[in-house]
Amino acid sequence: MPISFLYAEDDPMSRQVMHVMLTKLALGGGAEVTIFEDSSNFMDRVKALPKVPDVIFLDVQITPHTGFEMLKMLRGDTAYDGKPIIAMTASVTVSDIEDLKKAGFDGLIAKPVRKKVFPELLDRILSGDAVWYVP
Amino acid sequence: MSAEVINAPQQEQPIRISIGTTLNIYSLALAVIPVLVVISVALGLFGQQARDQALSQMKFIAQARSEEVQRWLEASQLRLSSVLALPERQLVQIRNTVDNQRPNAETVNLVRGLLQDQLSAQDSFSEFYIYTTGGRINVSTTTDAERTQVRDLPYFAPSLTQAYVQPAYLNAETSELDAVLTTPIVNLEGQIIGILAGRLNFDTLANLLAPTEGFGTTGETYLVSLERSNIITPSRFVDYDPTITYASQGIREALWGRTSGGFYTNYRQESVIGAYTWINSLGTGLLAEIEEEEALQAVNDVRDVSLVAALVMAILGLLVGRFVTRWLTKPITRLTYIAQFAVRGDYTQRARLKQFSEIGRLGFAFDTMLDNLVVSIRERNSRIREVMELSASLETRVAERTRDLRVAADVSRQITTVLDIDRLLQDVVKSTVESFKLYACFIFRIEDTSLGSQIIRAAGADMTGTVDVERYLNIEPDTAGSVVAQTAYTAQIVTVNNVSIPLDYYADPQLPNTRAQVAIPIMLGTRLLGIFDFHSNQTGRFRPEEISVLTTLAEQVAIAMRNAQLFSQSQAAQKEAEEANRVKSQFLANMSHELRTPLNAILNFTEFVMDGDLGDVNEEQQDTLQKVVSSGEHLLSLINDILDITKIEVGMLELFVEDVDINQSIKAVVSTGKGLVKDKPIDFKIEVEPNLPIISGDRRRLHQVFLNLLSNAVKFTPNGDVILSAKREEDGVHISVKDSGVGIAPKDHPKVFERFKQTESGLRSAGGTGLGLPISKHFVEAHGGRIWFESDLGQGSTFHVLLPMKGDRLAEGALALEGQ
Repeated sequence: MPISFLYAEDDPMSRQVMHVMLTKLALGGGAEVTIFEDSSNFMDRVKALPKVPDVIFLDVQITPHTGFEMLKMLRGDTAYDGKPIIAMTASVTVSDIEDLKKAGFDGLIAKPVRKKVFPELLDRILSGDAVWYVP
Repeated sequence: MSAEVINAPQQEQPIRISIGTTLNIYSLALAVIPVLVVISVALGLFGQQARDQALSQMKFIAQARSEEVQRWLEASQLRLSSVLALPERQLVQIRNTVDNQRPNAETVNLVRGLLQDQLSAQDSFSEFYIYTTGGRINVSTTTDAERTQVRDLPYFAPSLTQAYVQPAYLNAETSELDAVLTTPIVNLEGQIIGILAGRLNFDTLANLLAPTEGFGTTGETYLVSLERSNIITPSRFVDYDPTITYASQGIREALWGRTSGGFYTNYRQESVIGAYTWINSLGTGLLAEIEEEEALQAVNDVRDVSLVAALVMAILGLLVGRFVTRWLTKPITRLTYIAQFAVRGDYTQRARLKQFSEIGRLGFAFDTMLDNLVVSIRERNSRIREVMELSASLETRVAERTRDLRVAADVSRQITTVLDIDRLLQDVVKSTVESFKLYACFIFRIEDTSLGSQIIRAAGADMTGTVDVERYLNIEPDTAGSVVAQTAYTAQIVTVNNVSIPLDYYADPQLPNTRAQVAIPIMLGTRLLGIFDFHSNQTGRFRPEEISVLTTLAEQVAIAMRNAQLFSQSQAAQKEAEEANRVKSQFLANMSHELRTPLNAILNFTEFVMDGDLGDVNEEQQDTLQKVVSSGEHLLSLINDILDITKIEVGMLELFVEDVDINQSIKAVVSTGKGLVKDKPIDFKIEVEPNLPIISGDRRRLHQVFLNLLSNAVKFTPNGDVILSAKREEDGVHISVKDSGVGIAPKDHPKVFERFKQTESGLRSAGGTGLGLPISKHFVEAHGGRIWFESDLGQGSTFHVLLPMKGDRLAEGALALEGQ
């Protein structure tokens, strides 16, 4: 069964980059990737997915619900609570990272993330490592 | 006369020998010693004389008594002879008693009667008897002796031829001492036919020797027989006892026939003065003795009387001594007593000696001295009192001044520490009320409003502490008779020391006990900031010196108010600056986000194309795309550097501190470094000690520092060596990057860590923001470390970083988080 990813991101460029990364580069290709362009009706749409994603990437600065809010919604549902939920952001000051950790994210991949490192990061996330990547 | 101005009394020396004792001893000695000397000399002389006198008296007595005994003996011979001086008829009878061996009884009786008559007529003899030449007693006055023999007796033979005196001898028959006188009885033819003998009566002899006047109680004379050395006449102390023999020096000498005398111990073992002589006819020694004690009785009496006299003298001496002593010492004791009083500070006692001697004059001088002393002490005390009063008033003034200074100091301290003006003013009025013991105190603020100046009650305190000024009436600037309003108007101190005097005095209804009030303007230059208002419940309380202190206080308050004003202004400015900072950091965050997001796309899409992920590309296209990637990376590093330096500038740079394994950090840098030198003729050498410690730090920032140094080295080294070394040192981990590149001219050294300042060589070389080293320096120092370098133009450079260790913990194996 192929690995499935969910990625919520409002920046189209970032969506495209991640799409290539996840579908073509990571895990030798072939992963199932769902990308939300915004966070409206987030949980409904998540639940409407054919299967629970193995890893969920959430953009922090997205509307109408921020990454933190989406995280809270997912954590409130036992079906998704156990899955790695990784923050995606370009704001990476120390206080930002602390906020993410406190909120309960399982990790962070800060932008820009390069194709040279992404597959390895993904492997580590899937193996259960806490990955806090800041270039 | 207060005791405290008197010096503490000196320790009194104890009196070892008082004058009284000394005088008593001297007067006693004076009285007794001469008497004793005279007595002993006199007694010596008298004693000797008395002895000599007694001795010669004894000698005289002995001589006299011996002569008396001789005479008595001679008289006794005559008496014995006279017994035969009888008429012829009677004489015949006597002859008849010895003519025949056996006289007839009649004749014997007759003759016996005759002899008895003769015996009783005298006392020299105790017995008359007649014996024949044959030795037979024919007649005796003692009948029992008749018909006994005398042939064996010592006098028998001599008596046959002549009249004979038989000295005392021991009669063996009677065991008695006898002394016998004989006279021959001759017949008509003149032939000795018998002998008349008379036994001497020792009692008579004893009477002769009996003591007479002058013998005292112990004087005695006695006879001692040669035969048995016994005392033949009863002495004064012993009776005649023929069985007892006696001995003494005197007896021995007498029996040797000497006539002399001396001092010796007599037969009674008494010390006597005795004289002795030998009475040949009686064959006895005669001794005259008197006990020495009696002989010297007079001398002893003199001695006793003298001793009594000496005693009397001694007592008299003592009494005189005592009197003199008292006469001398009483005033001295009195003086001493008074002196001791004076020592203890009591100068009221006076000697007032009633003597006109030198001591009296001394007492008078002493009293005068005390009088003078009292006067001078009184003067001194009054001066001391003056000085003490002066000093007390000075002390009060010093205390007041100290209090003022303390209040001023408190205010000053509050001014520097308390920047909340309302609190400060409250503290000031509170401490002013407390320190100056005022009834109440207020500070008013002058505020200019559109309606004109207003007098605002800003702070107040009364004796209970700070008060809520809202509860007090405000003072309108035109309040008539208000001291505060008047001060606000004139900007002058207004003092009312008795509130009942000014007719229009405005009394605050909430301060009914105000009796005196002063208001002092709080001025800053010519500007009136406020009014310091003091109330006292004592009329006349505010004296000029206190007002001057309060004015000083008002000046302090003025400064405080201005400071507070400035502070609130500066606080506002700081708030503005902080707000600006916040905006700036928000902007930075946004910019970071906004710049990185497109760069993410640029770099990744370019790489996707370049790497052929999206389809085939030729080599030329690849090279071109590589340039895009490089430019994008450079842009990203610029963005990162600018963000970092900006964060540093606004003080927002934060370290994400965790345990950092330096081994892993170096390993990560080495792998990046290898990529950097890949296309350059550079020999990249690694000299890293194993087992470097774990330190506390921000992994990403440290990596950034090491990478910055390494990339600088590579950048400024066209060809040659770059050596990365890391070692553990005593005070930390020392990482250095040495290159053989262009180096840095000494004149450029100060610029190396400055922002946006690249050295000439740096400018010539491609790229760089000029921010790498300043950022690295900041990071290293933020870790508590040190960064420095050595370099010269054309000599290459060595950059050093020293990071403090976190304890001595060694890295535990390779637990690195790869790829970060």
